[in-house]
Amino acid sequence: MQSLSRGRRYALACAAVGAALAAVLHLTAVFFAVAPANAVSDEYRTEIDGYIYPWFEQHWALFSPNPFQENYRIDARTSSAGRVSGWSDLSAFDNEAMRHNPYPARVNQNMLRRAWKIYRNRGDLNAPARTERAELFRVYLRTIAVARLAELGRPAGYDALQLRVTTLPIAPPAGRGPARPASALLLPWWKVPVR
Amino acid sequence: MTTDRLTAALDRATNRPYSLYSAAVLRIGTGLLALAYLLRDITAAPRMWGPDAYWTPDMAHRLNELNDWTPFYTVSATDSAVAFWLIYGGAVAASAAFTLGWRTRATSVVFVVLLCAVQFRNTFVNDSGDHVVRLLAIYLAFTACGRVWSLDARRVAAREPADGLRTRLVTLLHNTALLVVAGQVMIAYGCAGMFKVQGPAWQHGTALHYALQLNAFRPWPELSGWVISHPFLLLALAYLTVFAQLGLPFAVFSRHLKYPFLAALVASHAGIAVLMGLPLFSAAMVIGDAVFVPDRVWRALARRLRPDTAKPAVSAPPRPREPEPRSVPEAGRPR
Repeated sequence: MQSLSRGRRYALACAAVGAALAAVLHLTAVFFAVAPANAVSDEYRTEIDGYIYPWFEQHWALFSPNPFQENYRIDARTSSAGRVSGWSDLSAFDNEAMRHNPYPARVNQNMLRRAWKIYRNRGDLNAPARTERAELFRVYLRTIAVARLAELGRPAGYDALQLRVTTLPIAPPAGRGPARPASALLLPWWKVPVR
Repeated sequence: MTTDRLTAALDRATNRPYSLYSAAVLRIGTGLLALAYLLRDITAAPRMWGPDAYWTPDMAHRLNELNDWTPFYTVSATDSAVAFWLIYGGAVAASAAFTLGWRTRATSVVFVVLLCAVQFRNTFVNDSGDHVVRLLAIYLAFTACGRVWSLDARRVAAREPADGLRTRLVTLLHNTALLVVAGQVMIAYGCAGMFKVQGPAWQHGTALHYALQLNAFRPWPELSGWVISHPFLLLALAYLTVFAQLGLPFAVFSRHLKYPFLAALVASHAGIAVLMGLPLFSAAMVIGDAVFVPDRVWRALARRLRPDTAKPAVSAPPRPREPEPRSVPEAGRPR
């Protein structure tokens, strides 16, 4: 320390104060970005998100407050010139690929699953969707479904596609109430552009 | 507070880089996880990230305009296969160089930029583990994580840096960044715990009954089924997870108490890695935990594994003037 001139020591002190401030501000922003909703994060959501996204994006509500208590099965069928096919189970393809795989591929673990959840959360079941954002997610889900059908041996050539999403509740542990029944959501027919 | 004490505090913050071995472990771990991220799904890379990806370059650009995020977000959303593979190949090369600690100061920046470029191409195939790897990569770019256990250590071992302003600033940045990593990990566990205590399934200890039956996180249905058939085991695992996560941000301030907490978290992540098919996420969390392990533990481990190479004379930092760098963030005690 003595080897530094007085001026340089002041510069170093300023840098130290700046670094400490930056660290505290950063961690404060991260905390309020990921903590459960509260007065501060409600008030400053725009500012916090503007700072956090995309570099520091993170989510820590993992399997909480409650884990999802249901599985989804996504089936697809196609229609060409009025002839409607049978249902194909797109989810089974992923489940089969992940079985006994210590490091599942993200195309199986994340792709269809997250595409459906994003569409469900942000989309609106219209075709085309009402908002541009929802329409992007609809097209993304449709593209994955088309590719998945091709992998299952149904090449392109059909002019419309329909998804059916079946919710399969997981039975609660013994003594914690009855199992809920499964329910199916039939999405509208989606036109498939010829590629 | 006298000027002397302020000067002493400034000296403590800028004279010596703390936890150089932890930083090296974080570097190696983060680099390897980035390699795993890039290479595990290389056969699916064109579908996830390439010009013909399901999430097309046009869609990526359009969503980014709607989000009003940085233009860098779509830097690898290109219609040119050559440009995409250059970015992808560069990211693989940078990850390898970063892992090895080759020209770490510059490499760490290139590594962050290229890793983010690939990750941002399609956020819809990412999960929490990928966020952790990216966060660690960003923070490590501010640290001197290549001083030990690196190719750089061999190259510059002989050089004794001067006690100049620049060296002091680099040290300040390193120490601050490691504290940020520690704070980030504490926030992650603290908030994960806060969310869990809000949920009846975690309160009743039945959360894992559901989590272990989700199709996306059940690569070994027989094993998951066996665990699910033992309600007391489910309860113990759920409560242990909640207590370990909630307690870690406090336990790390204790020199002794932190170890059982870290051990519980590492064990729970080992379980998640196998049972739920999330090895990358689990490994990333364990790497983050490593920031709390002091250098003397890393050196002792190294001595045990490789008695010949772990001597300070060979792999010690370039500025080993004082013994025993302490770990982050035993900040409650004077250093």
